[in-house]
Amino acid sequence: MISDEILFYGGIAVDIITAASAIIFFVIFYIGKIKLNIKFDKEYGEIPKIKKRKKE
Amino acid sequence: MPEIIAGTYELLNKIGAGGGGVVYLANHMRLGKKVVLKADKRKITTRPEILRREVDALKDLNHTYIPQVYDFFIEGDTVYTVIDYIDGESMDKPLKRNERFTQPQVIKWAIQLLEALCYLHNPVHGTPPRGIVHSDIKPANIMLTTQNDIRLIDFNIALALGEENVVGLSAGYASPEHYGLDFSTDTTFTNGTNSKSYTKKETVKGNLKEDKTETMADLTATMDKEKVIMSMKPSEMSNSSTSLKRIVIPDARSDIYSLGATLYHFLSGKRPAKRALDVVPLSEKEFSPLIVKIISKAMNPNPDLRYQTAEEMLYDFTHLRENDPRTKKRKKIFIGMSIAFSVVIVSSTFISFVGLKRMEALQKALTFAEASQNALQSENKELAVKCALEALPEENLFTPKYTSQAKKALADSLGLYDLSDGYKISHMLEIPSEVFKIKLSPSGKTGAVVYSFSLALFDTETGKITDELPIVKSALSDVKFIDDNTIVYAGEEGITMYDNKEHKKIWTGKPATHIAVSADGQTVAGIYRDDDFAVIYDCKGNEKSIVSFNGSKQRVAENDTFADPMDNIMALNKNGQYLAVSFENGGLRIFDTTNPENDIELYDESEFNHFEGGFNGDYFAFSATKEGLSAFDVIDIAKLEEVGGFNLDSKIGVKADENGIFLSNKSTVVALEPLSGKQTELAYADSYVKCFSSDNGNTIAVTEKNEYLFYDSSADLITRHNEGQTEYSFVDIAGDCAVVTGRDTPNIKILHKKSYEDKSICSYDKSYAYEEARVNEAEERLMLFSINGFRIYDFDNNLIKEVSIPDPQKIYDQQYSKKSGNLAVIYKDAFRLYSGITGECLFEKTDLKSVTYANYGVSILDSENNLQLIDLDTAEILESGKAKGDYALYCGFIADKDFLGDSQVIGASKTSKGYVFASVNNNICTVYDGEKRKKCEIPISDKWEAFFTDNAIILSPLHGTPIVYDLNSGKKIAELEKDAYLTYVTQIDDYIISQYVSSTKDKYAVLLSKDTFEPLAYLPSLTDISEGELVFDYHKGELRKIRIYPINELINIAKEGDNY
Repeated sequence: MISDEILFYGGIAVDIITAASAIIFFVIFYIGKIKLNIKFDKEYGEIPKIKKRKKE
Repeated sequence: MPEIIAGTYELLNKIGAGGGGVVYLANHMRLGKKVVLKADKRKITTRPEILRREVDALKDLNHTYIPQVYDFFIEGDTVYTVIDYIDGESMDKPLKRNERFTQPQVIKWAIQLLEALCYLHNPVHGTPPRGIVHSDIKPANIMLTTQNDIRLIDFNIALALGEENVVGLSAGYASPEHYGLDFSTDTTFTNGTNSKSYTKKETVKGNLKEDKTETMADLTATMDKEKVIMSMKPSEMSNSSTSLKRIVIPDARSDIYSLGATLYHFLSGKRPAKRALDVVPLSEKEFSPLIVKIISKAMNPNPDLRYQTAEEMLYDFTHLRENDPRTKKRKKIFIGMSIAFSVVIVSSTFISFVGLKRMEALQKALTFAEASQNALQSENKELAVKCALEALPEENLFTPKYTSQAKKALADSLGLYDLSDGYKISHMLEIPSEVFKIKLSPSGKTGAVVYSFSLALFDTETGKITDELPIVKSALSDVKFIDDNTIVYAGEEGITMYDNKEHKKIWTGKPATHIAVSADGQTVAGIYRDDDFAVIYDCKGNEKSIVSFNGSKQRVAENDTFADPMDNIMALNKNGQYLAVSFENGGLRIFDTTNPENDIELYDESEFNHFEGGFNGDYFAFSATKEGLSAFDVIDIAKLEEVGGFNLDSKIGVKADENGIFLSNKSTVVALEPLSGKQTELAYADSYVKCFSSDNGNTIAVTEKNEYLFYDSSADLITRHNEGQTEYSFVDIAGDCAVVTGRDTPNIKILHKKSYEDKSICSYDKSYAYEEARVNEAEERLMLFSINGFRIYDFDNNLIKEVSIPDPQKIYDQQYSKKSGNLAVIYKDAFRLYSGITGECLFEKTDLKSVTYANYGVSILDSENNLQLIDLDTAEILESGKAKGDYALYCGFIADKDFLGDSQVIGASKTSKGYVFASVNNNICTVYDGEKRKKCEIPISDKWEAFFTDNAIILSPLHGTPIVYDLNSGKKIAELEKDAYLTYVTQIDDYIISQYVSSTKDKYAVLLSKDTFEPLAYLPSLTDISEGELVFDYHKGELRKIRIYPINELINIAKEGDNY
């Protein structure tokens, strides 16, 4: 039988571990994104934003 | 000398020449701007709309990547078109030089071209508005500026969308439609390429002509069967040899094909195959798969499977990063992980929240359970039940299971397991301020309480106030009951008679604080504070007379808010003729309200400062008290003589009315027979009695210990209440009701006499001295036993047998067998077994080496070392055998010296799982089963006794707290009652009952949870368990039985409220 204390402190522990994991994941993810963007810059160049022309 | 055309354009140099004409770089002389002057080689006799085609196409256009047209004129035989000069070169030139372009460069130009195409195709140009198809997009028609941007040029064969006219054909760049091929019904090009034709991988080499646009006019002669003249009529089309040949009007999708082919060339450096079906897709290893895919789609032979608009293609080019598989894969991972993290965090937060809420609920439940126990100690039963219910909220996700503390609080507060007769608290009434006086009606159904400064009437059954009446602002304010429904009280406007049934005043007289009412209810007397006269009324409120005290006054403090109304006597006799009044000067007089000449002066003046007393028939009984002396006298009013009296050095309390004359002194309360002087004891307390009340044989006495004690007509103490904090000053008892309160508390305890005779199962002579009362399993016999002997009663309350036990001082233990009712008497060296039915001795053996009791039989070891196990119910020998040493017992096997060594057995039992016993050696308790297997070891440090349940061993020290251990693991489970000696442990269904003897020799038991051994209910005076029910013995001559209430039933009883 899981005690209420285990529920409470276990839940908090999982929260903390998950939050820390999430932070690490997102940091790694964004580093990867930056690397990919550099790769894209080499592969596709800088793609200009297209402004819609007004109807004449 | 430079040539000047049309007087405006100064030709600077020739920058190109072809089939269409010559192109010059010219200077616009007026604007000073460089322009391109295109001299058309066609004759001016050519249809003007053909000559003006480019001008007409460009004149309405204004776009960054499309040149602006400035002028169109004819000079001589030549048609000139003036357009923007673009500083750079056409893209075919670097291609011819075999220059290769990077993918990012091509993407940039593709976007610029597509922007231009979007603009061109947009149906907004000219009048009426229309879109324009370039129709000849190819590297040669794309200028690369020095800024590395592109411009789309050469609109010579541009068409309005939907226009059927001359079409340019640039091999490799022209769409199948340009050749009149229609693949629109072929759905095999779904991936943008033609799988059918890749077997013939043909790249365009020398078979293709130069990058030259051929107009339809040029091509008429050379066109093969794949080429269709766009101007062919449908009738002519039907004669074509191939079904693919259709009249096809180039549209935006044709430009898209051409653009795709151009980009293909830019990237690969190779012109695409002339036949669309032969085009080899770009390598995905060499170029980004997405780019390959876009170009393949743009070059799909089936126009329906190409990009349908330039916008679509532009979108794909501008969203290369977003649509890249790597981006999509990362996006999927990102979303997946985000969802996973979110789900985990939300779940764990929810779980944590649930845990927190459950912990809070548990803490709340424990707090309420404690509050309930505190309220119960304060004898506030209603609050105790209320708190206990709060401690037992309905179980759900956020609320844990009922705690044992809460269960115990509810069971204890309901008091269902207290079957003793006596006065039990039924209500706690709280009034706004401290009490001045309290009275009960003759039947005890109504109570009246005086406080500052109101009179409250309350119903003792419900504990609710029914009336609140204003009174004189004095602590002396009095109230008297005439009958259950009528009171006389010191009303704010004057002495008032009030009908508390109809809730209305009957009459009001002059102001009064002290009030006396005659026993017949016909006469009322009132004195206001320290007035020297009393007003006498009849029962209708008429003034009968005024009794003058001749200047004497009752004892009244200056500030009568703090006056003690009990210091004075003011009483009327039964018919209201005589009025007894004490005075502050120590005087005591009996006034004849009808004839002042018959007044009786008991004390003219004295040092007594406290008087108590009243009339009983013709007798006036009183006590007069001063420091160190209290005088009691009884006066016969009719004979005008003293019939008795005495002096004591301690205060004598006197209450006299038509119920009798009652005296209290020190710790005793007695009833006095005035004529004979006979005293009948009503109460005998263990400390001085402060105040008392007696009615119909029931007496309540408050002692200096702040206990209030109830005695029955035999002066037997029936109920003891010891709340310990409140100083009780006022008590009254009437009928089955009693009220108790103090000067310093606003709380009034209302008690009712309760009897549980209906729970009685058998009776006995309560004068017989015994230690324990037990009933056998069949409920046929009751046995009362002690070391001296026993008595057996049947359940018809007949004494069956009284037996004396020999050598009582040598008795080591006595054990009762529930099944048969037999009594085992165990000596150190002898064993006797007595029948629980007849009382005869069933087994007797002396000169034994050892005698050991267990619930499955008694093991005796004789001097010949024969071990026998004697059945407690039949006295038969169950097991026998030889044993070694001076001690042995049977526990599934013969445990003798060989097995035990120096160990000492401290308990043995047969549970539902078999034999089990515990032995101790070197402070280690070892538990074995009947197969000699060791179950667990428990370190101990004292002399212990062992009790067993199915799953636990309870080790009880001689001095200390019994501890429960798991039978298999030896792990500690719980601690039991402190400061009490454990005598029995019994298992019933889901409960364990532990029985104790307290340090004050009181016997009680605690109902425990079977698994956790947590207490569930306090069971005072429990003596036995019969048929799964609890049997209580209050040493009052009968045993009472009640079942164990499950917690849900207790909750229902508590919620119903009035049933407990």
